[in-house]
Amino acid sequence: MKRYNNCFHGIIGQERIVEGLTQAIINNSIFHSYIFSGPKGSQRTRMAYSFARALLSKDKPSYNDYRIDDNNHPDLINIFPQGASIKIKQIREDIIGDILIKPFESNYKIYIIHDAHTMGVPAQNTLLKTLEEAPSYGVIILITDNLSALLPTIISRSQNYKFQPLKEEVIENYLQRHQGLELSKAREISLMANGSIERAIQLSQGEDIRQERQDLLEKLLRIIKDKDIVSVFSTGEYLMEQRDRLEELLDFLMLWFRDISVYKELGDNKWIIHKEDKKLLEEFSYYLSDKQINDIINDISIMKSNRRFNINLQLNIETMLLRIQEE
Amino acid sequence: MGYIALYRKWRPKQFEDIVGQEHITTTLRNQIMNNRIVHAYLFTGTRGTGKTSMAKIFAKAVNCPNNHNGEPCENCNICEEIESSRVLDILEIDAASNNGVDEIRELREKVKYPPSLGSYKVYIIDEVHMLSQGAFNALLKTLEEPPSHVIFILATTEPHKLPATILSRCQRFDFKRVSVKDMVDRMAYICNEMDITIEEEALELIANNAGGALRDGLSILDQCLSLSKNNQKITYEDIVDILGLVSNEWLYQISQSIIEQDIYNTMELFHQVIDGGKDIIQMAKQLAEHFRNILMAKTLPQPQEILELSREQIGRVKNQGEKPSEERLLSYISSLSQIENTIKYSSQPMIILEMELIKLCKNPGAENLKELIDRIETLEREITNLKSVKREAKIPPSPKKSSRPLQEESITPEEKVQDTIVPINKGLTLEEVKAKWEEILKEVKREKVQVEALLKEGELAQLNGNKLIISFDLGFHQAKLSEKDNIKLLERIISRVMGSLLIIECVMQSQLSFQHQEEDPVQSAIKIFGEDVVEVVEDKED
Repeated sequence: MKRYNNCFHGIIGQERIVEGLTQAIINNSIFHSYIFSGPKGSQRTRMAYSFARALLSKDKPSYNDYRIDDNNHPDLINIFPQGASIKIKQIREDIIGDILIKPFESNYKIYIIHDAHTMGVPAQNTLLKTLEEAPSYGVIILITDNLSALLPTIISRSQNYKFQPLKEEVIENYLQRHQGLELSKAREISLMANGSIERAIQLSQGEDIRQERQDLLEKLLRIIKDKDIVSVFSTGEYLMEQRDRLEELLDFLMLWFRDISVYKELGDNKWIIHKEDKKLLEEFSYYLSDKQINDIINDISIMKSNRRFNINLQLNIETMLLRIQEE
Repeated sequence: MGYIALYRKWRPKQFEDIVGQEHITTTLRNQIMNNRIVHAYLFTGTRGTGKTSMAKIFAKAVNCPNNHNGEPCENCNICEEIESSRVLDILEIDAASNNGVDEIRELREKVKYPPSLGSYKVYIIDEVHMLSQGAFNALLKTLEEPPSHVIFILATTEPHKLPATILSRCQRFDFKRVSVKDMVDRMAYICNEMDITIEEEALELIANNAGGALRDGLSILDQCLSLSKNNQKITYEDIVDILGLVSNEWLYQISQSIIEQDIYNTMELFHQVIDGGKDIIQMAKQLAEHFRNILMAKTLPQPQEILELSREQIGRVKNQGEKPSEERLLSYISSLSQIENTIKYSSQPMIILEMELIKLCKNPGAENLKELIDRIETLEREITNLKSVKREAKIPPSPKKSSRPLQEESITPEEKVQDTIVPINKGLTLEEVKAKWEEILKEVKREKVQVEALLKEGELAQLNGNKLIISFDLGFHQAKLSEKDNIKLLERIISRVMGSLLIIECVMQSQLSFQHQEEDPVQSAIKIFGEDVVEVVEDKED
């Protein structure tokens, strides 16, 4: 028991899943196919590696630990998307063609399919039979952030573990302990990190994000208050310049407008995330109608999903800003 | 090591083990007994309904020399050989990974060799929908006229992807979804065999969440088993936990606070479960389902026949349904199920559901449209009433007697008769009619737009007893409006609005003009300048 716990040592949060997988090892009821689904940064990959470590090192000293992280273990096969997707050829050669060969040194042979949702429908179909009737030593782990992109026949053949975004306290704790941040800064970042430990680390190393966000909000407020059409376009341009970080900014804006909505309904309360900016919240909520807020949130979420399809980003941003401006 | 998933370990070995597909097992067994086996079968149906298992059993049964009632005997040499998949006569082909023309050609080559052990060679082509176009066509001839010792069984979840030429060559069997009851029975049997103690409700919950696929159900059960410590009893709560479901109690509470439009309480409840790490899609789904239960309990006379709830729960659900209207419940259900889709593809599902809940609390959705119209109408009426009060205050009622002399001259003999029949005029004055004129026009417009257009051209001239005289400049307008239907319509509406019976007469302005000399100067002023100039009357007073 203790040894398995060591295997899962580096994982932050997700205690229930750790417990479940550990119990499965103890009960000796290792399923042949697992799906780890959840948002990015919710420890899916790390969990998969840890699980693999626990299985592969069962009767042997754990010296092979580093080989797992280095993608260098003979009985652990990682499958990554080639370009934009995982190809049928990869499934055929790396999994179907390989799984009948017995493990080299361990009791198990583990296949981790990263970003499994990038498998096309034919690729997923190719996997079906193998997924169902894998040899007893074979374990296939599919990691995905979009469960609905997998065929129901795939999901039905696997055990599904859903990863929730990490809680703020967990991230806050981690930042304090491992990144040496002060409490106030750690809290601020944990709120912005959206449940992702990776983003939290990224944020903690970045510039002064708070100031930057404050500026962005000031800009938006100007659009709302003065109905200034010129600042719509200048703000649009500003957002375009931040292209690389747009995802993060959009997330922030979505949370911000959600806060406005909550503030509007209930006034000051414990569910508001951006507590430190109450004055701005008040001003925004004074100028925006319920419908506008809802529309804006909708716009942002559509824009976020459209980003994958190479849409005209500038037009999208400007539409959103114009929506903020209109009455 | 060596653990085998439940759905593999308990794959049915005999026809009678297959759950919920009696219509197929009976047919197949009869075919075997009567020796009417055809050469090509197509098994279709959703995942986890037993297609592959059925194919395997069928392959065994046709080869078993001493099968009884069509079931394989499980004891003979052949059955054992097949069970341990050591026989080359049964070929299970994964069409998804062998989907090219080349693989099918190879198959065609081998088809002609007779079976080594039993009497039939069975090709099970699983996931057959993934074959390429060329591969399907390469298969056609063989599928139609294979050697007598060959049976093809094609299995797929998506029969619509197969070419019609394949479909027409096979005997097709559609597998039904497994009912909740059948699934519970099967899982209870497996648990019993494996010495697992599990609550009956827990099994029902699993079955309800498996969507008619037994394999899904067994996968969930498997997950519970791997979590259970030292073979403890598996409870309803364990399953709720694994599936990330919210409790019934929570559903009652949050639906109640949505109905009561209590945003604070709704948020409180919502965040309670969010912190508990529940699945958001499931949450939206369950909430929609709960509102559906409420709606059913509200509308159906015998809800217990449709709803799978206990008597006590139905009473509770019914209680909740007392306050909200059906339309409101429907709008809850539709917005929640719409949001379910958005959530699936969103990276911030929590925010989207949260906003939706606030929206639901704030505007309970489209109320009955008719209700709304009625409310607007009463509002309008009140506004016009207010206006008329204002106007009356401004206009001093003109002396009634001034209109007296006009009366005799404009009355036709015919109307005289009517006059005597309906003498109901509760002392209405022309001003009162004018005050309500706008409202009358609006009412007329609703019934017949043309009449309203004509009426606008006319002018209220006089009110003699219960006869209202409307004057026109143009003969056309006068004549048109004088048509029987139009007059009737007008009379009906005006009488209704004014609350007393009135007769309408349309005359030409010129017919009236000479009478004007005798008329009250106020009236003539109104005639000349139009109604808007009523202010003039006041001036005159000064």
